[in-house]
Amino acid sequence: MLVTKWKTYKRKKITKIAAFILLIICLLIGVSSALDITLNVQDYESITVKSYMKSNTLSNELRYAANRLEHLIRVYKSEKYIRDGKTVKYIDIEDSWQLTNLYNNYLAEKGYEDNADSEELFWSEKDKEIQDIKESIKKSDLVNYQNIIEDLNNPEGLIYYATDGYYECTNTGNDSRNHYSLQNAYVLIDGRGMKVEPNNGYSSYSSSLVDTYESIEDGTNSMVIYAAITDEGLSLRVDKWLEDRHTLIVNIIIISMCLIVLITCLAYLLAETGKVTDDEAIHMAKFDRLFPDLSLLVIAGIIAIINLEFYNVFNIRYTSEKLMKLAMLSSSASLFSLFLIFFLSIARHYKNRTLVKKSLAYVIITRLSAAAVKIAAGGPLMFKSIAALISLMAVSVYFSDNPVLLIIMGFVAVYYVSRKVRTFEAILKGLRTAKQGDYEFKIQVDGSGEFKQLSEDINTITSGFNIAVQNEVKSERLKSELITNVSHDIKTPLTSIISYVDLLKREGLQSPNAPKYLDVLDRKSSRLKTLTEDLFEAAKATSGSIEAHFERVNVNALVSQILGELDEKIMDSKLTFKVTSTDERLFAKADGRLLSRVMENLLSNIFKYALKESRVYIDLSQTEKEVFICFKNVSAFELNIPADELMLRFKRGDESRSSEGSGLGLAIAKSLMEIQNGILDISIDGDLFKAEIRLEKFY
Amino acid sequence: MNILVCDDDIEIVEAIEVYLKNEGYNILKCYSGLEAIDTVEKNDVHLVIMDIMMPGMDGIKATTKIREIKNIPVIMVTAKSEESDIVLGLNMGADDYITKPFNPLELTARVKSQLRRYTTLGGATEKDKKDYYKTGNLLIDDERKEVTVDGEQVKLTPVEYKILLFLTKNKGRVFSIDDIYESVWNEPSFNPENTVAVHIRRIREKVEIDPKNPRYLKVVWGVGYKVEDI
Repeated sequence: MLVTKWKTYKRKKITKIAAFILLIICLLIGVSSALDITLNVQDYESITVKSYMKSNTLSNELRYAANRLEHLIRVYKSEKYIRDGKTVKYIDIEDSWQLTNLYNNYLAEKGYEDNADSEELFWSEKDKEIQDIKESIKKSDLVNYQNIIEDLNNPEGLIYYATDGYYECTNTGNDSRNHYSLQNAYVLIDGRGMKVEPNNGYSSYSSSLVDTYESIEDGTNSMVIYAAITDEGLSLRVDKWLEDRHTLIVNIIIISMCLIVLITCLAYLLAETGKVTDDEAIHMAKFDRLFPDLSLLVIAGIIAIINLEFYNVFNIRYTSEKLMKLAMLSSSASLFSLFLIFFLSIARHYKNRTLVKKSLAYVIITRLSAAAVKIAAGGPLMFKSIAALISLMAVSVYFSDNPVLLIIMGFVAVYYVSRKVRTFEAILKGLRTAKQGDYEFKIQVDGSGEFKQLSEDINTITSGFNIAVQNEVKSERLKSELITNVSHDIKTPLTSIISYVDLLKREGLQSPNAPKYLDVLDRKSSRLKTLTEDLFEAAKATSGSIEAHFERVNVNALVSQILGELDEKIMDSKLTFKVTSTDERLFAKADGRLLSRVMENLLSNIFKYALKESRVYIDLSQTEKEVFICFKNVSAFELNIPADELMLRFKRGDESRSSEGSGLGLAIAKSLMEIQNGILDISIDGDLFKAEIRLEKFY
Repeated sequence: MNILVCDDDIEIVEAIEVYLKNEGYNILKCYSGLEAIDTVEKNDVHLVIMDIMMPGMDGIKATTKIREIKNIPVIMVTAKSEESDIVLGLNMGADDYITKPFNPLELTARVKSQLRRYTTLGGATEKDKKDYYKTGNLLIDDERKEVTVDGEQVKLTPVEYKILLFLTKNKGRVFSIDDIYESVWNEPSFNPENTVAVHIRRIREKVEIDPKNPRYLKVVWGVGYKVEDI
């Protein structure tokens, strides 16, 4: 319960906005604290060293003062010394870059070698220029001197005395060692050595001071340097030190706390962005339609702006510190807000797994490649295949000196071709399946292109076939059912008719014509009987409700049996039957009962339609795979209908339908042959009627 | 002899009545399955002619019930000529069947055959006699060279007799035309034309009630012939 509530709460938009604002506020506090430190703190050492007297800063100030004093007294001596031109009196060509330049130009101008003679000539010939340079050196020396004096006088409470034995430089006028060594912080360099109090941290002195110091110890130098910080100056420094320390500690605590809150808020926003209270899915904001790689670019831009403009804003402090603070805070708030908005958008894309897919680069590349594929797939096949071959050859020629690339290309080509061939085989297989009558099968081909198109066309055709076949089967079944029912219904009244006609024949009627009429009734009712039976048979044969029981059928014996069965009719018909057989052993794979029905139908046709007293030929033969039974007779009537139409239901050799027969015989025979995987073929050549049965051979 | 005729078609029942009365039988008429069961229970019925397709209780159910009451022959009359229907009828206890539309003479013949079988059942005392072959109601007395079907003597030519005897001796087995020829004529079969087949058909015409649907002498198409072992 509590968990769900918390979940709901943390996914609310208002919470996220609050976190966002909190984040920005923390950032602002942090930035302002950082500014506080940079603006107010002079010495960062104060955070680690509590006591100023133990700080490196103090020792280093003293060392620095010693360095400056040494430089001053060794080079410039005094202001008068410089003004008198003594600093430039013994100047060498190498000592000044202006002189070196002038000398080099002089040598080049005159074509002289660099030696003592040419140097002498240079001094005399270029005297005017040299004097000008010396004058300018003098001026800069003077400026340097004054800068050093200012450097030494500026720090509050620094007193010093320095001499090389002749010139002196001091701001107290006191040359007594004790005057300086009695202070709490001092540096002393004289014949007694060098002493720094307090001597904290690593000592570093200019190399010339070290030289000087060493020569003092040797007794060859009379330089003396004394410097100290007065108690007043020291207390000022200690106050500043403690103040710095306080500012640093307070602001660093503030900054760390802000940082913790900021990171927490950021983590929360990253975790919950894109989620809503209702479900677990990631919901993209409208803003996220912007491509993530563009967002990344914007973020990079923001970072670049911060990098470039930071000091421009920071330098406003020379104009007004308040203005700089305002500019710094407002710009950091706005830039960071922007950064966060874009960054969260990227985070949502990442969570939604659309970081790559929605990126502008990806979209452009996929669109371009799709367009390329479309263009490639759209063109004529011949053009495409030839273009592919030519480009393959061109690339092979181009890379002919790089066998590794050629092999890779070869593999790629082989892979591509094998994929195409596989597709082609899949299509072939599908076609064969369809050819065997399975129109349900669908060819599955991936990708696009000609093969895809081809397979889709084939699928459309087969599914059309499938529908047609199903409709055909359905209507055929309905027709068969109808015929079965109707023939059932006819049979019952027919039974009564036959029975009562027979009774009348026995008991007689008064009319003299009665026997003749009854005879007609008798004949017609039995014809009706045959018709219904045939109709029923035909319906059964075509509806597929008859199953063939395949066995080894001796075709010679079967013909013999059927002729035996029909012996009486043969006698009556006065037809001569000529049976010829190529082999004594002719075995067919068939259903003997069904095959006998087929032959019976064919023979009954022959009895009905063959020319009286003509010959009927029954030829039996076989090939390697099939057995043939061929019936040939001369028709008594002119056969004015095409052979294939004869096999349709209710078609009859005589259009007038005067003779007996249902017109179903051939249709039934054909269906029965199909059930046995055989074929019944009928051909007409003039008056010659030929019926051929083809059956699978039995092995 | 009392024969029960049951069909929902009144005219058919009456026609059957005329024919069977001429043969000297007493007829009980019913028009539904329930009625037929009731009649069988109350009367001494010797044979039942039952139509299959009737409203209410159909002929197959009625036959099953009748069989529970009395062990009398039942001939089914059906408009369904499909084999599965006939097999079902025979399995449900019918002794014989005839399909509509039927020849009245054929029906009388079947009735006579069934009754003779029913009345002489168990009366066949000559069973153990030598040279005596039998399948169903077809009996061959080889000693007297006599063939009887349903108790009636049948006139056969010597060749026909030999063929029937050969097949009945080995009833249930199928013999090819050549086998039959060789065993009957005692000479190798050489182009026997349709001799055997023609003889078989003639035998059938003499022995069978309906030669087109033989009961005893059957054609195995494309193989040969056999006498059914009943």
